[in-house]
Amino acid sequence: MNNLIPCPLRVVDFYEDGLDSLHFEFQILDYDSRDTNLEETSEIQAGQFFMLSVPGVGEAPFTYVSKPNDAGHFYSLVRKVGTLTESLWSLKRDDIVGYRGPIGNGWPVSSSSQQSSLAMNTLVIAGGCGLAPLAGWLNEQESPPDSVALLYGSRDKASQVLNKELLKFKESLTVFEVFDNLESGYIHGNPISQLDQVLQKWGKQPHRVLICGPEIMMHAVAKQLNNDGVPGANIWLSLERRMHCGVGTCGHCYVANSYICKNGPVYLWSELNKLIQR
Amino acid sequence: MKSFKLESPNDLKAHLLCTFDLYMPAESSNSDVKWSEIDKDNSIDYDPSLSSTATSCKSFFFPEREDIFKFDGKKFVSTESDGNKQVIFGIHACDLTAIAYQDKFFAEDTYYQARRRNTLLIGIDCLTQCNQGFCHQVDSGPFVRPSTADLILQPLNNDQTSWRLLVVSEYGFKAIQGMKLVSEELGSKKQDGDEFSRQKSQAEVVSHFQHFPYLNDGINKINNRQVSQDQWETLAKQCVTCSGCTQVCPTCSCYTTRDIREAEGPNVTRERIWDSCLYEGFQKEASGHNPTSLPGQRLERFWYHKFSDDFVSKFDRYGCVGCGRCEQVCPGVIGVHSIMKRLSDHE
Repeated sequence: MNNLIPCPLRVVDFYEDGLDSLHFEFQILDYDSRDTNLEETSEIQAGQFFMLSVPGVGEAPFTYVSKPNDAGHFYSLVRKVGTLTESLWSLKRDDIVGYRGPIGNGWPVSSSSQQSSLAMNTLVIAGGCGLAPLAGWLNEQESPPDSVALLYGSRDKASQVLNKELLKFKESLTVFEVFDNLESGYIHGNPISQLDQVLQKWGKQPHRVLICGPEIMMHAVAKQLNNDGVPGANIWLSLERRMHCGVGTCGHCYVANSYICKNGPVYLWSELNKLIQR
Repeated sequence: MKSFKLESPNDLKAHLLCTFDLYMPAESSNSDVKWSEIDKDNSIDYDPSLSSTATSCKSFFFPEREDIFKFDGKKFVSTESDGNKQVIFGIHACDLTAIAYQDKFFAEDTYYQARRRNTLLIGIDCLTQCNQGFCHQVDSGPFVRPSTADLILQPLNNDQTSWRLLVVSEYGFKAIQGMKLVSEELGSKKQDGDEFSRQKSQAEVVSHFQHFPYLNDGINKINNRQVSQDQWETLAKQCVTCSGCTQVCPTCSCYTTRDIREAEGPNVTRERIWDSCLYEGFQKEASGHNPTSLPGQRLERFWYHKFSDDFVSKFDRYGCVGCGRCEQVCPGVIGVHSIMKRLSDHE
């Protein structure tokens, strides 16, 4: 059953985390007694999303940086881009907003316990706040650090988001930071222009790739990697669309005959390609 | 399927009025035919010869505006309502097919289903082709598909002086309890009320219908991706983004939401409102990114949604039921006939 009714979500805390970006801690209230017509929260996958309601302003999709814990607390990153996100800047601690989730399909579930995946080189490519839906997945990785690389592109140092998480990733994974604006000591460019250089530096052929960022970047990078021999069925990307329901009926988030809220937001490049050609 | 003789549809209407709110097509002051609520005093007769209603039945289940929830500062409370027990009387086959399509689309939408559950659908077989209609080419009429209605009114002659009432659902059967009706034995092939003879009479009716070959050509062009982006852009120059097509289309169902804040206090009501995929901002994101920023892309989307094979696996049919309303309403002359003519080679 579809449910368009949010449950109350408490603003626990927030802090600035990059230019025009706030990192929120929320708590889903009445977590134990939650109506189970929303999917089981214990099974939330990294890459899924939720609809955040600001009563009086509207509702829009946002991603989890971390899954809700047993007390219903979770983290989410918001960048100020429109009316709804701007309204979040005037929220105070203990204010009540609305939550519906989890929605959609997440990233491929890590199979790090399996022998085969130990040697599976994974390249994660994030652009701007596209790092947010990937952070949860990166946090869950138990593979040897050198089998996972993160290529993170942003405009400049100040606009990097998830700064605490990024520090942690630098300890546990191989991280390549690229910037549109020149930053001394860093690679100058974007994930499209610097992909070859980064792959060369990493020295590995990626077996699978996870991408989230501006759509034009994702398409270009996926295409290039696909041409370089990464199968389209090993490239995942997360799409963004305007959404008004999250349950597949408002009609806004279509790509051909697929609705991103139901069939995405994470798509295989091979499948997305077919949709785009329709 | 049970079958009864009926002298006049008005007998059925009078009976149903005792139990239900009743809506049927009636001529309004400006001579438009509209779905109108009929008073309990039953003063207006049902006129089967009226032209098709200007709008479909979709707003009975999916209103142009409806409340979703209220927020009081702490909790979100659903404003879902069942509505009264209602009967929609005299629905043409195309509109019933559209309701069946929407039933699938909104299968899990509690707001839609609550209203739908409380509604009795009375279909009527069409004996003549309506203005711009082509139900016979998209498998939605002119005779009512039995699984789409509760009761079917079948005129047995062209002057509509003799009728048959077909009972095609349990709900329909319950609704006619208490009526004095003479049953007809069905199932025997000699009786002309059985499905076989119904199909035969439908074939006879359709043989007098005009066939529009460009419709099939246009559908093929869309499915074979033979329409260029340039051609869509050319056609879209005639779109004035009025959303008339999506409003009158019985299978269009896109919506947006809006929050209404009370003047004082924390109370907020969220409503959902019909939207249109032809609007420029339909897919525009807060960042400014718009996957369908060109009018031609949006026009292509609309027709793809109506005629692509890609949706058939889910709905068992095309999204278009052939009512022809978009042709009647479009001020830019790019309704279904005009578009398909230009997509086909029959221009």
